[in-house]
Amino acid sequence: MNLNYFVKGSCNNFCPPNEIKMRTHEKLLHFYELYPPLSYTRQTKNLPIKCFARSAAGTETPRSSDLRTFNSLFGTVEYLLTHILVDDRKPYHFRYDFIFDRLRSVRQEIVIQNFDEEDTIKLIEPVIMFLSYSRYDLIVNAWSSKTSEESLQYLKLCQSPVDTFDPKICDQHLLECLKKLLGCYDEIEQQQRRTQPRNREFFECLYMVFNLGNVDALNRAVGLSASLNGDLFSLCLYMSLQYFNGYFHNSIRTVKSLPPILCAIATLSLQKIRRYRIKNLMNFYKIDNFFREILIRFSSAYHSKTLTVPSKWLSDLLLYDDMQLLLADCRYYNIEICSNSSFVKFNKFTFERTKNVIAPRHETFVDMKMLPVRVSDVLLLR
Amino acid sequence: MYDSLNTYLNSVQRAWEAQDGNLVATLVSLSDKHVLNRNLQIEMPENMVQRIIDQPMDEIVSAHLKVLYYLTCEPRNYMAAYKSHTVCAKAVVEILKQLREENWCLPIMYAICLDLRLLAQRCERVGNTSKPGEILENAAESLMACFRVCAVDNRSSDEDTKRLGMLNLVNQLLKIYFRINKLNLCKPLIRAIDSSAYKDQFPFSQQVTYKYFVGRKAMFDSDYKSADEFLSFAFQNCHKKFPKNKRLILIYLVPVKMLLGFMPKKEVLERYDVLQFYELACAIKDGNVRRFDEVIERHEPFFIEHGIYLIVEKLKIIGYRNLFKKVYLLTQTHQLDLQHFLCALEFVGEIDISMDETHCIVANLIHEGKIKGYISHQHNKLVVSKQNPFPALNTVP
Repeated sequence: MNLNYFVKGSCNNFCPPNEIKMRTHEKLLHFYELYPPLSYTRQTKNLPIKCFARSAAGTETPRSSDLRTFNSLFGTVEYLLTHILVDDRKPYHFRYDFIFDRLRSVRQEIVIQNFDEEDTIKLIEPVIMFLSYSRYDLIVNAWSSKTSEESLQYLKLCQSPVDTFDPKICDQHLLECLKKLLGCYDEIEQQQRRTQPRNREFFECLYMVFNLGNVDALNRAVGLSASLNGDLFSLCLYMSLQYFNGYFHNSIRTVKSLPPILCAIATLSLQKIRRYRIKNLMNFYKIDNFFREILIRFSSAYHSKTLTVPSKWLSDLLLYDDMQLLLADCRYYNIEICSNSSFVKFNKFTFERTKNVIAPRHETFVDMKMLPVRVSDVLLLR
Repeated sequence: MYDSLNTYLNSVQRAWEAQDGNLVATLVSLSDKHVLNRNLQIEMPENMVQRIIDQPMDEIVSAHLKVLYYLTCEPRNYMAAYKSHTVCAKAVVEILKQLREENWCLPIMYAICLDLRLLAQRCERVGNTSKPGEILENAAESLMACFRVCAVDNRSSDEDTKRLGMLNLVNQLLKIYFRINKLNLCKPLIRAIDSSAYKDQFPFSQQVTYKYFVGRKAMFDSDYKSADEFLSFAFQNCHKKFPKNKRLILIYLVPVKMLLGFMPKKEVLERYDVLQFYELACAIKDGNVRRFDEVIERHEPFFIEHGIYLIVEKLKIIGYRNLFKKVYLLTQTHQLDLQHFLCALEFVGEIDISMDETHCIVANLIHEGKIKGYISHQHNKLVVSKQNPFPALNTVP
């Protein structure tokens, strides 16, 4: 058998006819694949989309007719991210599951058909955007501050229920896709075929911010800093370096200092801004790590039996826009709150180091930035 | 040196029969003079070789002569040479298996494995691979095959055990793993050597190389105390005939030492042409964090090339410590106004730095144990310990 031979797809639809036949017969069509909904009476050939199936031992090599052409794959991605993504007949996590599975099958075909780097990049970039967007959007968002008991209760619930969305799996796939994409970039650079791919800077930033403070990611970025020298890249590198060296304050400030700069160039490149905005979301993956790391440091530095620190100062420093939430988080880490909630008292001995980091949640200023954005355009990098 | 193929082959056979490992090793090494002999560069030497040389040595010699052919033919074919050489490496594994309870053949293995790695590196550099690091990884697999045979040899006596060859192989493997940036693969190798009963009996030069790599590994794992120990051993024991190697060790040893609070002397750095660190050390000593940043920027390519950019960045906190210590010495009080720190930072040229940021830097220093004291937010003051408020860096845990 020739190992360098790869099957080339010939199917021009979103789903090969064989699979449509099989899934219609077995009544395995998805809600979004049926029209009218939940009825098998009528068939529209463009609605079903090839679903993901594990490649297992004993499965035959797929035939050319079971694999889609590049154009059809790209069409599938576009269709999913423009139509299904905004089809609000069902909640977002339901749509997410559907799109996640169908995009996974697209990724599988990239590997089976061994597309060249350019085509792979075109297909995989929107997938990464979709995963990053969902990663933030699907965080449980039910915070309302009333009493301290309620807020404590909330913190317990803060871990999003795994049956609707599993952040770990999402992270894992996101990282996998990112690594594949970066591999393609490297390959293109090595072959010196062209200048840098269009979106490279952005995705390199995404990778760096996703792995904030990680040594490997940083080493990669430091090595790239000679060839990639855009403002965004330098800013992210600075942020990641500051995080790595423990200057969390600078790092967290950078997060917030991104928007004004972006606003200034907003009129020049509106599309670019939209993408930046998604990236800003990414910063919040690690933001709760920030809180914790800063609080740990403060517990040693401001450690005292009598002295206190004003909670207002702390909330400004840590970008909290809700004082009750800050106090709830402090309680979670066993930081004492005194004199009518306006001061907190740090103590390095009683700080709960063993507790898990609080799960990330929606931040108002990020949500505000997301409001005017047309998600589909951003995800498809238009 | 050998006029004809016949004389060469006879020499190999004689050395083989006499069990002179070192001589055989020289005769199949690519760094020996015989490689220049045109009579030995043969594309199909099998028949001739089999007539004179015993099995299984004949396979090595045939493959070796082919390598010579590919390396000298026009145009040079490094890939084909490498492939032939992997045949050598496979044959070596067979020899090791056959010669039970004997280890005189170890030098042959050393020579072949060294050349294998060098050839793989050459192929990578010529760059006809589909993926970077692919050939080196392949070479590592061949080396691992040898390593396994050596590592399981536990029946032979202490003098004859092939386990004595482990360290040489491990060093070759470490060189490859560091080159292709797969440091996670080093761990089992290091464990194998550290738990070995022959730890102190390995050739000394090999031990120096080993310590150099283990030191670098410890440095990347942020275990600076061990890194200091290993790299210092390597530096002190590396022979002065090899200034290039000493320089390499120093490039990693200096930042580690600096992190532990020992600033290098100018003469040493000058002798080994690493004055970049001197500028850095001066900036740190003065507590001039602004100049520190400038030095890093100026020598960025150097730091990146050696993979020490991140560790060098870590030194900045020591600069902050020294700067704040100067403030403490000037003000002569245990209750230091944080405003003074801010002034000091602005004095050395840190522009647009805020009070909050100053707080955070001081908090970091206290957290890391580099300052003994606490911050009173209410009075905006740092209260330092009356005894030893700035402990010597090598005593900080």
